[in-house]
Formats: sequence, structure tokens, C-alpha cells
Amino acid sequence: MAVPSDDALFARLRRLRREPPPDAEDAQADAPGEAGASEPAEADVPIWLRRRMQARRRLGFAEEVDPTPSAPVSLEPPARLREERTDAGDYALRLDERGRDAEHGAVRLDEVAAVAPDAYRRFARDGGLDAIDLGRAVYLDIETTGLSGGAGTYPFLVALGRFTDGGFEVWQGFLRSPDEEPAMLHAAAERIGAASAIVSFFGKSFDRHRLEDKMRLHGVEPPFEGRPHLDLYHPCARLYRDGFPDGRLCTMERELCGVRREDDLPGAYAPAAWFDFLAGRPHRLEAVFRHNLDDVLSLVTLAAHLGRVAEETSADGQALPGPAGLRALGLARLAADRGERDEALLWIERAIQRLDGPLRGPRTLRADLRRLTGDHERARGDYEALAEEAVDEHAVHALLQLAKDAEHRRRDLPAAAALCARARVLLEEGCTGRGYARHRRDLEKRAERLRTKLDRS
Amino acid sequence: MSALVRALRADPELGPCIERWHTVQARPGRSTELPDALHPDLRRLLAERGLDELHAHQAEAVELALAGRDVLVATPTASGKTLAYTLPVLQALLETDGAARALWMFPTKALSQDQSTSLNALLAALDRDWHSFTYDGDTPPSVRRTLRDRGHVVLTNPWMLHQGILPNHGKWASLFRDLRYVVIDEVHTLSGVFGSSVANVLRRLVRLARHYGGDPRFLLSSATLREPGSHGERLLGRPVSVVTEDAAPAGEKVFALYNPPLLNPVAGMRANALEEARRLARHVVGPSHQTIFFCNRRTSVEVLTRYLKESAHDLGLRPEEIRGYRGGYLPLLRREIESGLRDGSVRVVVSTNALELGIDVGRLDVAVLVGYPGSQAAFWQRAGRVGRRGGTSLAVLIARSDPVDQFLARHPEHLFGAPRETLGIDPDNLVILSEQLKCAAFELPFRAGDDGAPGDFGRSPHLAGILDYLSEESGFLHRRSDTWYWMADAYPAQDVTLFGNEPDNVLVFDAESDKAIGEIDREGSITTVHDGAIYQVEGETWKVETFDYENRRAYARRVKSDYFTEAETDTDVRVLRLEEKRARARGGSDDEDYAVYRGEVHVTTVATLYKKIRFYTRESVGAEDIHLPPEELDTEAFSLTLSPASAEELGLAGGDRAAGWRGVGRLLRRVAPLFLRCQPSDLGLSTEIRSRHFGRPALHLYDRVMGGVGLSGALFRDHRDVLAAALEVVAACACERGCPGCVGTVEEVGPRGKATAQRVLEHLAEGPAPTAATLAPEE
Repeated sequence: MAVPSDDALFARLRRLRREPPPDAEDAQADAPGEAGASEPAEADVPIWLRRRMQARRRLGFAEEVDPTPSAPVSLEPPARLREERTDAGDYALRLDERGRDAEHGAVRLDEVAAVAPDAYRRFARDGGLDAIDLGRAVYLDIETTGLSGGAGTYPFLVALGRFTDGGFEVWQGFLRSPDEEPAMLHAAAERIGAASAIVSFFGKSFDRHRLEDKMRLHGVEPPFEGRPHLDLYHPCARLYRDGFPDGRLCTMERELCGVRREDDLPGAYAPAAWFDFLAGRPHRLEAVFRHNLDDVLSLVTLAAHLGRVAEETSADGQALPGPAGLRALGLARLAADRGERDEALLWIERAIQRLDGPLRGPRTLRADLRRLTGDHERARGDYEALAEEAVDEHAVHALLQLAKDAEHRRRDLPAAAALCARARVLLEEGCTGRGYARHRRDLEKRAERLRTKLDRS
Repeated sequence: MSALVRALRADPELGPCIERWHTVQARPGRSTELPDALHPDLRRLLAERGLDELHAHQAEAVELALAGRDVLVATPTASGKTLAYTLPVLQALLETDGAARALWMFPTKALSQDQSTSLNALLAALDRDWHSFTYDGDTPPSVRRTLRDRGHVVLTNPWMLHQGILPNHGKWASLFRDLRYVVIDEVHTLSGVFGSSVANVLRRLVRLARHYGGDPRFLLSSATLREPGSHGERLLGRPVSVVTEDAAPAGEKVFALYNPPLLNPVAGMRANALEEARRLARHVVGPSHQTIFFCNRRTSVEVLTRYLKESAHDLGLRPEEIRGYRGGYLPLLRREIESGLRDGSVRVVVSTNALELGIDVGRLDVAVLVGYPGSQAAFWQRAGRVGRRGGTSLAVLIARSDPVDQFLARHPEHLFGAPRETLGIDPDNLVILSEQLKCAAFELPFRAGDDGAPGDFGRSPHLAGILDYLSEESGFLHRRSDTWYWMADAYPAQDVTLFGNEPDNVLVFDAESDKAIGEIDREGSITTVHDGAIYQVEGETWKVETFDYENRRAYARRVKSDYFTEAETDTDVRVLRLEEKRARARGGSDDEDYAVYRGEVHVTTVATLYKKIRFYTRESVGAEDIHLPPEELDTEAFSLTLSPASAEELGLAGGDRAAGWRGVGRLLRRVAPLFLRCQPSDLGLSTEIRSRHFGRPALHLYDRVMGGVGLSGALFRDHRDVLAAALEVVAACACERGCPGCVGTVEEVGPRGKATAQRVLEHLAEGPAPTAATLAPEE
């Protein structure tokens, strides 16, 4: 069969795939009354993106109105790129060096190097962070062409920061073309492999896997297994999740480290910047490089902040930036999870002092901690107050604890049964969802047992 | 069992309805010694299971596999195919000390669970630290990693491979690197859009394996097929060795073709097949044997199960010994029924095709097929559920008032002879290929070879052109000198389905609650969810208030309607390009008599109006216009034209005789599935008494899939068989002037429709076959 010319094939593909020719869609987008008229930018984006935007509108999503980025565009390749030639091929990199005492926001970079190696263990669920020297760690952040992962997602910019003898150095490996990926990943793997630990923000869930998948694809041994990895996202979320509107890095760095970024290019623009660069269109890669660099510097300062939080267990943490009351609550929860009840009690007392409001959650935690440390007298008082004040899950929990107390410590079975019955009423009035089901199971079992016991006596 | 057959024959009411009896004699089976190359541990494993020999076809398949060939075993159910592909896989594991990997693919989830259990038993018996895992949507994320790192055999399905494994191949690097075998079960289910898509998924798989240095062999199994080798080759893009002889021993098998009594000879109406199944139960259900009923619809399963349970006592059974079985039942319940069938505590099961594929329920005694299942392969899969060694088994097919069923009731040899159906499959369909190329480019860039085209994705001449289109027009890819890279912030496999145009489907919503109540494909939407349509779900009637065509949504309100709606359409077929022609000359001259063509067409379908028709009485109670844009389809068609002279001779002219020509088309479409694995609804039909393109009577049967998946080509090749079957149906049909069992009812074809159609078909089917002809320039 003769191969038809591209024109004929393109026309046929358009028909079969139900894709109108590009000019027809432009005309449609310009037509008055069409949604496209108010969004001239849409005519320039590829069909797949346009379709996706249309589909989102169809499903009733409000279009995210991103402000047009203020970062300038350029046709030049990013500045200060150095070409590296390796056995695995070529790639480009940029080095940024600054003093160890340089400030990022309100924090000096080398503050992190002063944190004791065992400071971070309180933030980890596993034992992997018992001793981690952040002065010898690598600070990792990558820019990719998408968040969904998979083999077609390129980590086109990989930043790795580390302390050197004289200062702090950020290595940014960059793909000038997709086929430079193996060489760049080789170099990145070597650098990561030379460090004693990894620090990232959400990197355990994202950056690590994007790199690992791509490294395996190119036959590069991934350097992550067995290397301590401090992912700052989780401790930040645990300490401050109720205090900030979201848990993103830019929020944390602003609130906790005083970082103000100017003309920052939001990460969502990164893929388009690289696609534009590859296609020879004007692009905003310079801003992506800076965003990526700033991210790495923020990792250092945020890690320093956490280090200080960790070291301040005995002192008063109020000297640190950020909401001290929420932090105290977070530290109390972390300590309670680890079973360190005395420390947890210390922090929950501070949290209750510093926070305003009914504080039913924190006060329930304090009552539980008092009970568990043998202070039954005060725990009972706490639970009674919690049961009186409101109709909610905490009240049900408090009544349940009082019922247990009556049954096992005060040996007053009728009182225990009465408390159970009261809890049951509150449960129906004040609880929903998972809490409801759990409490109900507990209550029914307990009431049943009490009935049997009462019958026997 | 023999007594049962005798009693059925002698039954004064039912016996005469059995139009044909057919007995397949018991067969001893042919065994061979275990292949020499078989590893000693496997010999021991087989010996422990009492197997000192293999069936000849198993041994042949194993030897071919061990010799490094791709193998397709196309034999009936329960002939031991599983062992034939398990042994080579285990051998590879033994030879490489556990380094080799294998991927097993099953068309349904239930099958992979079933196989996983038996495979793990074998692996455990080998006493190495080797494992098989099922990887599907139910696999918890927490164990996926272990599975990727430690699974020697990964059992999965095409959807998971397409959307989960291939796009994330970096995570599966060790599987691809050491991939020795890809096993695919039930490949006869891989046809149409689905099969064509899966063939591309396999191209992607091979491409990735090669990237990691692997070079897997394929072990395929299927039901008995016509031309299994060519099906295997179209799936894999390379030749496969085929094993077709079933050398397993078998008991005597009796087949009965039951044609329900004619209730109304003038209208050609026969008794309802489900009713007849219930009457047959008297003979074929009982405490001393196990019976399976196959229904074609889920609701029929429920109805028949209820009937049988109600009369359990008369049948000598307890109601709990009678069970229904279908998709939609919870897995645990299904497992319970399956094991009940194996241990004999369940005596009767009524099932959909859910029990058609290889789930192990042991061998049963009687199978009753309520209606022909639509394909020969499915017929044999269902009938293959019965038959114990050393005993007699019985399979009864109850024919419906349908042309195919009626044809088979008179021509059982069609079923018992060599397989007749062609599978329609076209991996190079431009829509499917271009969508799959997106997925493939996401997984690895494409590099052009010396001829400018990538050499690792089949042999379509359009590969480079499509990749350029995806780069230049769609913007998904980026071409850099000789390489195409994926270049979009998207995950294509998520948007590409293996079944075709799902994104275009129309969702039907309850206008009150805004909850979705149904979904309908693009082509069907203009005739089923137009404004005012009565939309039926599970016996409930909904009236469509608005059809938001642009946004692919329809809103309906639940009503108690005493009528349903039927839309009428105008279909226009424009011939774009003819590719092949065969023609026959009129007796004793060079003038053309009739001709057939294969080519590309553009089909425009407009819904014109809908009628409101009362339930039961079918009385028309009004009609309204439909205002919707036309549906456009670019596809391949088989066209048949009749010269003006022949048309005149046959009395084919305008008016109600044109309805006879329509009747011919309708009947051809209905009997095509005898030779083509498809549903009649997969084929579109347009008949013209005077075609714009040909200037004479023409009928077009087209693939109702964008770009076509090979149905029209097969029709072009086999059209003589289709004509002969159609003639046979209309000639033998007892009705006077048309019925649903032949050309259609008299309302549809007019008073002279049947006679005209029969005359035309006689003319076409008799006489010599047309021969290859050159296309005239004006054609």
C-alpha cells in the first residue's frame, strides 16, 4: 500500500479522531459568546490541554484563574549552564554557591548543621532517623513534567544542595533535551549516594519515586534504599496542620522561616516552561531554576526550624516563630504516640495555656494522659467537666472513661451502668461517622457486660 | 444418563421438538510420554499427581514452547490447556534457579484468582521460595511493592497491564528484564475493538521487555477457532505454532437441537425459549446428575432460577440445590457456588456467560443452552461444561425465533464441523493505533529507523505519520530530529480505554437527584435519549426531559409509562474509496449481474422521528420529530450491488418492493454472525434501491467502529456463505409473509417483502461465485 502524504493522513486522522483542524478551532474560540473569547490564551495551547480544560468546564469545575505569571520570558537557554560530558552522555548543570552563614528568610543556613544528630528522631515513626547529621545531608527537590508519575513524566530539573567546606552548594542538573536523562540521573544518583542522609519536602511520596522509576528505566542504581530520609512535610503537618490554611512548602517557609519570594513562578507552570524551551518558543525556565533553588534553601531553613523545635522540649518553645500553642499540641501528640507520657503531659499543659477556645480535644488528651500516668483523681475531674459542657464525641468518650472508672476502680456497678446509659443518649445526639460506630460498639459491649455482672450480684 | 436421553426422545410433547440428534462417540484419547527435555523435578511433580504421560496435544505444546516457539493451543474447554502452559513456565523457573519471570493474563478477574490458587499449589510443591501473585484493581497498594520485587509469576488482566503496569514500567524493571513467558488465556475473546486494542498493548509490552533486555515468548490458549494461526499472528505480529488436536479422552456426548413448537405459523411465532427450558427441566434436572442452564441475559437467569426453585420438589430436589450464577454476585457467593458444583452439593446452576470461561466447577452432566450464545466458540465453551470420562453427557440447544438459531436448528453440521467464524481484529485501525501510540510514546520515546519509521510497533505504513500528527497537531509529542518524545502533562493510559469511544458516551441522570442512572454509547444516544424518549432501566421507565447533546448528558424523570419509544433514522452512506471488487456476469454475456466491494465509507445517521408504542399491543399512539445533529462515522464497509437489468428481472423496483431489498439487507446482517464473531448490532446497515454512488440497488454492511476492525473484509471474503445461509433461512421459514425469524415482520417488509427477498437471495446465492474484478475509474 502506498503511504499517503501527511496531508491526506492528517485529514483522515482528524476525521476519525473527531478532532477539528487547528484553524477551525481557533475560529470557534474567537467566536463571540464562546467561552474561548475571554480566554485568548486557550488558542495557543495544544489540543490535549484545550480538551482537558473543556472537559473540566463541562464537569462544572470553576476554571482556576491563575494570574499571568509575572516572570519574564526569554528565547535564550537558561544562564550559567555548564555542559557535562559523561560516559552515559551529556547533560547540563548549574552550580550556585553561597556562604554557610548566608541567610534565607530569617534563618541562617548553618543553623541546621548545629542541630544534634538525635534531634529528629521524635518526628519519625520508624527508627531511621535516630542519628542524622544534616550537615552532611543532601537537600533534594525536583521539577517534573507532571504530578501523575509514570514513564512519560520527566524530572527535567533536579536540585541537590549540600554543605561544603566553605559554604553551601546547590547543584541543579538540567535536561536540555529528553535524551540527556540517563546522564543527568547517573550524576544525581552519585551525588545522593555520597550523602549521609536525604532531606526533602514530600519527597518520600513524590520526588524519590519519580527519580527511582526513571533511574530503573535507564539502568541506574537508585541511591535511596537504606539511606535515612527526612521528609519535612509530615512533621510540619503534624505540628501545624490546624494553624495554616494548607501544608505547602511556601506556606511553611513564610510562616516559620520568614521567607518572602518575589516574582515566584508557581510550580504548576514548570512543565509548560520546559515544553516551551524544547519547542523553541519563548519560555520562563529562568524562573523555574530560581523557584527550584529557593525550594532547596527553604528545606535547609525549615529543617533548622524543626531542629530547634526538637531541642526545645525542656525550655519554652515560644521564642520560635510560628503558632506556639499549636506546636505545643503537636509535640504533645507526637510524644503521646511514642509512649512518652510525661513529656506529652508537659506539652499538653503548655498547649492548653497558650491556646484559646473550649479546647475539648486537647483537654481530652490531657485527661487521658493523666489517667495513664496514674493521676486518676484529676483525670476524673477532667472527664466530668468534659461530660457536662457539651454534647459531642469527647463527652461520650469522657462518660465511657468515667464508666470504666466506676466499674473497675470505684466498684460501683449501678453508677457505671448509669454512665453507660447516659453515654448512649449523648452518642445518638452528638456523634456521627466513624466515631459513632466505634463508640457504639464499645458502649454496647460494656453495657452488656455490666448487665451480666449486675444480674450475678 | 442414557435413560434420560431415551426418556426425552420418547416424550410425546418434547421429543418431536428435537429437530436433530447428534452423537459424538466416546474417544479413548491419545497420550505420549513426558517430553525428554522436561526437568526431573517436574516429572516428579507430575508423577505425584498420577501423571506419567501427557495428552498428545499437551506434550506437543510443551515441546514447542521448550524449543522457544510462540504457541497457541486452540482446543475445547477442559482439554488440559492450563498444564500445557504451566509446565514451560515452571521449567524456565527451574532452569534459571528462579531468575525467570512470567506474566499471565486472563480476560476476567475471577479467572486469575482461580488460576493463582492452583499455580501456587504447584509452586509450593516445588518447594522453592517462588511465588505467584494476582495484580489487579483489588491488590492493596501495600503489597504491590513486594509483588513487584518477588513475584515470579504475575497474574493480571489487560486493563491493569494497560493502565497500571506498562506506564509505570520503571517499577517493574526486573519483571521486564527477566520476562521469559507471557501467557494469555482465552484469546478467542480478543476480537473487535477490545482485541485490536489488546494487540497494541502487547506491542507495548514487547517493546518494553526489549528495552530491558528481555525477549518473552508467548503461550496462548483459546477455544477452537477458524484459522487460529492467523488470529495468533494478528495478535502478536509474528507467526505462532498452533496446536489444535484435542487428544484428551472423552465420554459419549449427545447433542439435541430443540426447536420450540410453532404457536402461530402465519406469523412464524414460536414458543418462548425460557418457557421451554422450564418444560425441559422435567427430564434434564434431577437428583442423580448435575445440570447447567445457560441464559444470554442476567434477568433470564433470575427468572429461570426462580421457576426452578419453585418446582424443586417436583424435580426431586431441595431449593438450595438449585442456584443462580452471574456477574454482579459477590465473589464469596460465587466461590461458594463453584465449590458446591465441584463437591456435588449444588445439582443445578443457571448461569450467564460468567461460567463460560475456564473457572473450575468440575464436569457436569447436562447443559441446556437457552438460545444460541452468538458464537461457535461460546457454544462449545458452554457445551464443554459437560462430559465425564466413561459416561454419557447431554447438551441441548433451545432455538429462538432468530435467523441464526433457526438456521442452526436445521444445520447442526455448521456447529459440529470445522469452525466457521472469523474473528474481526485490526490492530492497525487508525483510531486505536493512534491512541495506543500515545500510550507507547509515554512509556518510551520512538526512534525512526533508516526508513524514517519506528520499527518496533507493528508494520502499519502510517506509524511515522501518526506520530507526526500527534506532535504537530495534537501537541502530545515532541519530535527532535529522529525521535518522538512524550511531551505533555498527562497520563494517556487513563484516557484511553480498551473498548473504544467511552469519553463520548452519554450519561443519563435522574433529573430529580442528579444521580447517574445509565450510560449509552455515542451512536445509540440519538435514538434512545432524545427529548421525549422513554428510557428503560431494569424494567423501570424514565422519560427524557432534556438531552444536553454538547455536554453528553441526558436528564430523565421516572414515570409510569404505558408506552415505549422507537426512533427512526435516516442513514446515508457515502463511498469514499473502494479497495477491492468481485463481480459476476449475467448468464451468457459480459454484462455485470451483481458485484461486491470492500472500501471506506462515510456514514451519516440522522434521527428523524420517534413513535410512541404501547407495551404488549404494540399499537402506535403518536409520533414526534427529533431535532439532533447527525452522527458521523468513518469506517469500512462491505457493499453489494445489483445491476439494473438483474434488478428489473427480479421485480425489484421502488415502492413496497424496495422493502424486500431492505429485508435482504436485514437478513444478511442477522446471519453474518454465523461466519463472523460479532453481534448483529456491531454491523450497520444501509440499503438503497438506487444508490447515488453506484446508480443501482446497493446495500452496505459497515463496521460500527471508527475506522473499522476488519468485519467488512471478512464479509467480503465470505459473502457467498452468508448469502447461502440467508437464503436457507428465508426458504425454510414457516411464516407466510415475514417474521422476526427471517426477513422481519410484515409491518417492516410489506406484504410482498418476503417473496421478493427470497427471489433476490435465490438469484444471488445460486450460480457461480463472482470473481476478482478491476475497479472502474468512476467507481
